[in-house]
Order: sequence, then C-alpha cells, then structure tokens
Amino acid sequence: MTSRRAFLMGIAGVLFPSSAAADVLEDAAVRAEDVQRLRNRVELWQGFASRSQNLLARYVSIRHSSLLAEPLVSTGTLMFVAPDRLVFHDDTPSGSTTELIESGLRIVPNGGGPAIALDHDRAAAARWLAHKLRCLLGAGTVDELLTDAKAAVPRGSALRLELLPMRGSPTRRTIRSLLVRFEPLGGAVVELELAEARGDRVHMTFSDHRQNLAADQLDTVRARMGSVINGHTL
Amino acid sequence: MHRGELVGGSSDGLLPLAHRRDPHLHFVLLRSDAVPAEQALLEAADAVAQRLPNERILLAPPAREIDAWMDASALFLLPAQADPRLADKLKPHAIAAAISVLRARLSSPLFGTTGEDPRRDPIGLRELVRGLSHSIGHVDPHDKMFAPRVTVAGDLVSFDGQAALLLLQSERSLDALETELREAVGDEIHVDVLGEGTRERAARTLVRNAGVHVLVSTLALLAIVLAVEARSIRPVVSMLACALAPALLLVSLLPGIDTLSIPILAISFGIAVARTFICEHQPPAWSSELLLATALLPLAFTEYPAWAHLAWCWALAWLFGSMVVRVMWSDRSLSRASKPWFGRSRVSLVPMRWLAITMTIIVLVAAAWASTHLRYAGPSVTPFHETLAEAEQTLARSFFNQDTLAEARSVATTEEEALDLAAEDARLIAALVPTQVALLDAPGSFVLPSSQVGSRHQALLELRLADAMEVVRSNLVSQGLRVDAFAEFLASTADLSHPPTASAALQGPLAAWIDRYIDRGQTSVSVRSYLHLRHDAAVPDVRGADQAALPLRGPIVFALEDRERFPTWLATLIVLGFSVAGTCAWAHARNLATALATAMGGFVAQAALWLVLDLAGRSIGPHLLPIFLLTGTIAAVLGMRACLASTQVEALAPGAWLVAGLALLAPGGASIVAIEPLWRELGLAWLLGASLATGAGLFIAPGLCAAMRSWSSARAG
Repeated sequence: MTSRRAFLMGIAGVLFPSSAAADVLEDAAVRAEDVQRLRNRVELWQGFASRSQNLLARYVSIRHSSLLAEPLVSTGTLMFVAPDRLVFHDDTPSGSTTELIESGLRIVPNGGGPAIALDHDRAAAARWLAHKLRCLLGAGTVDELLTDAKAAVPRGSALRLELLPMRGSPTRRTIRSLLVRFEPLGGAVVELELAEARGDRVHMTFSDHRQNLAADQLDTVRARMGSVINGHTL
Repeated sequence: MHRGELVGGSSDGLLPLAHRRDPHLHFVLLRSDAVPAEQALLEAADAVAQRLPNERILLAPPAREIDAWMDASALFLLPAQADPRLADKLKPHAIAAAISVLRARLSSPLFGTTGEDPRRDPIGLRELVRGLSHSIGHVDPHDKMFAPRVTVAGDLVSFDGQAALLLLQSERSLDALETELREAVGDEIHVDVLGEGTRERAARTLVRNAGVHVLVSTLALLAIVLAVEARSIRPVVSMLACALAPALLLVSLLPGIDTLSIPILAISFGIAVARTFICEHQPPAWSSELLLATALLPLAFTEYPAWAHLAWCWALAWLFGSMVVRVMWSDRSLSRASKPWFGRSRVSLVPMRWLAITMTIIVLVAAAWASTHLRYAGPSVTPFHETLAEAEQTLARSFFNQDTLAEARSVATTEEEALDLAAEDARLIAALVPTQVALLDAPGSFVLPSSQVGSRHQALLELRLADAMEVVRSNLVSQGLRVDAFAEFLASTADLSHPPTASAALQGPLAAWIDRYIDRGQTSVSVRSYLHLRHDAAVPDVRGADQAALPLRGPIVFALEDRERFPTWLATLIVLGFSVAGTCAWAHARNLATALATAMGGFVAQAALWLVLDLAGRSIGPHLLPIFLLTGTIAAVLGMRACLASTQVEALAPGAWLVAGLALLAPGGASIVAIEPLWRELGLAWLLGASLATGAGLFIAPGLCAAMRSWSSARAG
C-alpha cells in the first residue's frame, strides 16, 4: 500500500523534475494543497521571469531597525538587465544605489561618500540574497531560485512564498527569511520582505513593472541614475 | 622518545633542544564533507571543548571578547601616526558626512549582509584599527580574503567554513587522545591531530615498517654481492658478521633508531662489508681504520644534536669493528675458504697525471660556481605518512603553516610586567610585518605599554573626543537614527579613564586567552608571543630600547639561521676532513705527495658531489653532512691505497676493490627505493657520493700524487 507521503512525493517529482525542487517540496509538501499552491506560485513567476530581458519597476522600501527612530522609507527604481545586472536606485540624494553583478555587490550613497564594495567570495549571506533577488526580479529559473534554500508556503490566500537559508549555513546567521508575494495574474514579484537575524526587517513593494524595454529607453534610465550617483558608472 | 626504546620517533633530531616543538601541543583539525559544514564543525568543536575542558587552549581570543576589548580600547591602541586621520574623522563635517552615508546605506535592502556593524562604530573609526589588524594576532577576518575567522568560542574556522582548528595541550597518549576526540565529534566529522607528537608517531611507524625493509634489503644486497664473489657460504656469513658487529654497537650507542639513523645504519653496513672484504684480500692499514673511525667526528662540533651524538657513536663503533676485523683477518682459514672469481692477482696502478689535474681543476671550478646558489633544505623532517601530509597541507592552506611558527618570550618578575614588556616587543615585531613576519599572534598587541599610556592619553585628550561625540549625537538625531542604539559607542569613545594597560588586560575579557601565553616560573614570569616567519626572509633582529636582541625560538628560526651559516659549516667540516685525511696518509706513507694527493682526492670527491647534486636540482642541507664526510673519507681511503699502489709500495687487488665498490653502493640502492623521501634523498646522495669517491680515489688521487712527485723530482733535479 502506498503511503500518503510517498504519494505526495511522487506528485512533486512529476510536477518538479529537478532534484532541487523535489528536495524543497519534500520539506514543504505536507499537504497536497500546499504542493499545488507552491506549484502554481512558482509556475506563474517562472512564466513572467522567463520573458525578462530587462525590467523596470518602481519600489517603495521600508526598513524597520532598532537603529532608526522611525522606519526608513525610500522610493526608487528597480532595473534589471539580462543576464545578471540588478540595480536598486533610490530617488533621493539621501538614499543609495545598490548594484548587483555576478561577482559581487556595490552600495553607493547617492549623495556621495565611500561605497561598500563586496566580493561574493567573502560574504556568503550577500551572495545568497543577491542570487535570490536576481532570480526573483530578473530572469531566474525554478532550479536557481530553490538552490541552497528551503521553501515554504505561508498560509493565506495571497500568492506568497517564503525562502529560508539552509539550516547550519553561514547565511542563516545573517538572514532569517525572504518572503515573496507574487502578482496573482502575471506572476511578477510585487512584494518582498527580508527578515535579518539581528532583527531588522526590510519591506519592499514593487509596482509599475515594465518588461523588455527598448535599448534607448533603458539607456535614458541608466543615464538618469548615473547622473545622480556622480563618479560611478552603472 | 623514552630511553631504552629501540625504535625512536624523533623527527627533529637535527634541531637543538631549545628550538624543538612541544610534543604535547596538538592542533586538532576538524573537517566535514557536508555542505555547508560550518555549523556541524562548530558543534563538533564545542563537543571537544566540553569533553576536554582542561586540555583545550584558545587559539585566539573569542570574537565577542575581542569586540568588547577593542570597542573600549581601539583608540588607545592606534599608533600616534594615525592621529591625523583620526582627527580628520572627528571633524564636524566629516561626522555629518559619515552619518549621512550610514543613513544612505541603511536604505539598501542588502545593507544587512555587508557585515557592517554601525551600532559599534557609526562614523568608521574602526577602519583605522583595521589597518593594524595584521599586527593583532588572529584578529584579521576583514582584510584578508582567505584569512581564518575566530569563532565565538576562540577557535578558528577556515575562510570557506569547511575546516575548524582547535589547540590542545595534553599529556595523554596520541592514540587515547584521538579515540577521545572521535567519540566527541561523531562519525561525520573527520578529525586529524597534528603536531610534533603526530610526526613522532608517524616516524616510529615508518622506522618499524619501512626502516626494517631498508636494512634487510641492504643486508640482502650485500649478501648477494659477497656470494657472487666468494661462492661459498662461510666467508659470506663471516664477513656479514664482521660488518654487523660495529653496526650493532652503533645501534646500542644511539638513543634509538629514528628516521635519520636508518640510512646511516644501512651505509655503515655497506662500508663495513667493503672494509672487511678489502681486509680479506689486502692487509688492513691502521691509517684506513683511523680515517673511517674519525670520518664523522667533525660532526661532533656542529649544532645538530643527532649528528653530534652520531659522531662519537660512529667512532667508537668503528674502532670496535676494527678490532673484530683484526681478529677475523688473523684467522687465515677465512681467506682460504673464499674462492674469488677474480683470483688473487695484484696489480700496480698506472697514474694518469693530466687527467687527474684536468678533472680536479674542472670539478673545483664548477663546484665553486655551484656553491654560489645553494638550494638549502632545512633540518626539520616530516616523516612520510599516507594522510599526515594531506592534513598538514590543509592546515597550512586554511590556517597557517605550523613549520613557520616561532616563539619570542618576554620575561619579567610579575605577570603585569611581563605582559607590559610583551606589549613593547609586540610593537617591535609588528613593524616587521609583512616583510619578515607573516603573522603575529601576541597578547601584547592588545595592550598599551605603560611607557606609552601618558603620551597616548594626552594625544587623545587633544582630539576632544567628548565634543566630537556630542556632534555625533546631534547628527544621529537629525538623520532619524536612535541615539540610544549607539550609546555604548558614544560612552566608550569619550571615556579616556580606562587605558588598555597590562593590568586591565589581565582582569578584562581577554584574561582567559592571555593566560595561555603566560609561563610562571619560580622567580620569573614570561609571556610568549608567536610569530609566523617568512621562509624567504632572514631571522628578524628585534631589539628593544635597551638594544638587547629579543631571542626567538622555533624550527623556522634555527632553519633560517642555519641557512646563513650552513656553507661555512660545510666548508669547515670539509677542511677538517681534509686535514685528518692528509695527516693520516702522511703518517702512514711518510710522504707529503701521498698525503696531499689523498686529502685532495677526498676534497675533489666532495666538490664533485656538491656539483652533481646541484646539477640534479637537489637541495643540500644538514641532513647530507654525513654523506659529504663519508664521501671524502672513502675517497681518501681509496686514494691513499691507490697512491701506494701507484708507487709500488703495495699492490692493488682490482677485483677486490670492484666488489668493495659494489658493497658501498648497496645501501644507496636499498634506500633509494624507500617510501620515505629523506631516505631516498640520502640514498641518492650516497650512490653519487660512493661512485664519485671511488672515481676520485682510484684515478684522481694517484694522478695528483704522481704529478706532485714528478714536480718535486724536477725541482730536486
């Protein structure tokens, strides 16, 4: 007689042939409806991401931190250019521009001042988060998204997915979880919530997604960003 | 090694006692194949710490204690030359800019992953301290990409999180310690215990297994050589017994058979058999016996304990062997039992003057050229072991090379004074990083010397830190940051009443870590500092205010010093050998030409050996000293007999000399196929040395002797 768990694992295996996805589902799939929900969520997103050559979106970022008297609210523009360039550019000079490339990340204050340049080889948590953000907001695949992470499906009707660093990994000491909410129709990421181990939370909402813009439009946006962060080329 | 054990495990017999490592100090390397492994390794390290709480030593101050100490002391520990930069950072506009940059960075979603900790330093003062991190022990996770990290418990984790390192000081046997460790960490964590104790055990195993093979193979080869020549069992057994007599005495005189002894014993077999065989066919010459007995005596004056001991043992063993041969040789029945295939013919040697002179000039000039670029091999020996080398490589790659570790001691009458002195010394040593010192691990680097407290306090007062902190406070408020979150930084930076003196350190968060560096004697206390010296630099000359040199200890210290003086040592030993050979030959032949030619034969053989080893790309070091001396002696012995044969004083039995030459080569043949690299190296050197000695003795010495005689005759005529 086939057990219920084995039956669910079989379904997961059929739905997600990749081993990474199957591993993740093994952890998450306790109920059949969970499997179905996870499948729907990732599939929707996968359809959106697979079409991304470039992407522009507006964001509102709110950092909750014990360092701050009040939550720090920033607005800005997200830009993704295939294959791996992802930029978060705050609108104001008091904000910053965060640029993710394949080998590392750079945080440049818009108003001037020393940038933080980090090589991924040295910072496991930065590498993990940059990878997940690039997958989610760029052109990632299911395998890439679920690599080196544990996925969970939060309860509720919203299309949400929670990604957690693997237990025992150095990343876990910095990042607790990354909660993602997908747009119900198109599959685009509309909300991110990053929970840091030291207690900070970063909540980002995305809107006005514009996918696959013409090169000249992208150049205009890039030039506008570059003019704000003088001395740094995007 | 315990006295009375036949098999010893010393792997650093060439190191003076003061420079040897503590065999009870063990590095415990934990590795895991799991990905990620760090959490499992940290748990395993914790399990070891709980299991062996009294034996575990902190490799580094625990990360939190470092942070606590540095938060309170960083500005005091900054050198005076950093003050202008510190003053720049404390200017109001610089503070405003730093706080606004912090606020800008906080808006990045990835700020939390950068490792920045603004709570402890919102205006970047610690960047100035990071510049010093190379001089503050293992506290260097930020500036070096592949530097190990200090764990919360005070152990080290490799940069990739795949290995962890602990330090134990234990009197237990290595096997018991390993069993304990394996039980503590479980099956999924791979444990390697590294250190002098492990090397000694590996050496002991090596000697027990492979060493016996080398000795038995040498005896088998010698038996074959003798059997082919004698074609009778009795003389073969007798000659082997003669050969074994001095070797057995040598074994009993040595403190134990270790890795260095094996090839020397094998060579002693070969020389003894060759000597015995020659004695059967030619009357033994007392001068030859004296030359062989004193062959290694110059080593008695060197700093290498194993060789110094061997020198006397060899001399005694050889004199005993000479007596045995005298007795055996007087029994003519042995000679009658032997039926040599080459017969018992005797020949006189025809000297080749011009060949000898030409070869001597070529060899000496080429050796002089080779001596200008010595490839030196240090006195430390790592015995061959299947897994030891791999584990030691991992240790060196992920953490540090234990062979580059040196120790300095700051001695005073009290703990505070000793730590204060260590702080002075640490600053002197830190100035040598990175040119001569690769890494400094010193408790003194966390302490401000008492001589500098006053000046440092005054310098910080002039920076008006309290006012600067008020500016920081107002900027934090204006940028929407909570002042309370930075309260500790603001308070500790403005407070100059607690300088990081030795007494504060001994009562502060680092006290437990510092304690492991303190040795308490009856009348004095010393604080140790560890330096990782660079292989390519000279031993640092560290001098304090009193101009007294800070003594450094450790294998690397001795190796670096020995590298400088080794050519002088070798030249001295060769000159000594030259003098002894010439004196013995003169005493035997009462002829100056024979004496000089004999000594020159040995000298040319040694020069040729140096040249050939250099051309073959081999390293030369103290381990080869006996080979050089024996090569010179064999060449001198052969040269003296050949000189006498060339002047018709005595006839030469060519077949006997050929067989003796084969007997000399047998130990080299057996050693060169051994698994131990040191034995292969010595085996190769001996094969070359014995061959060159035979050539120099039989061809160059008589040629030079004849040339000198004819030159002397020409002058007299």
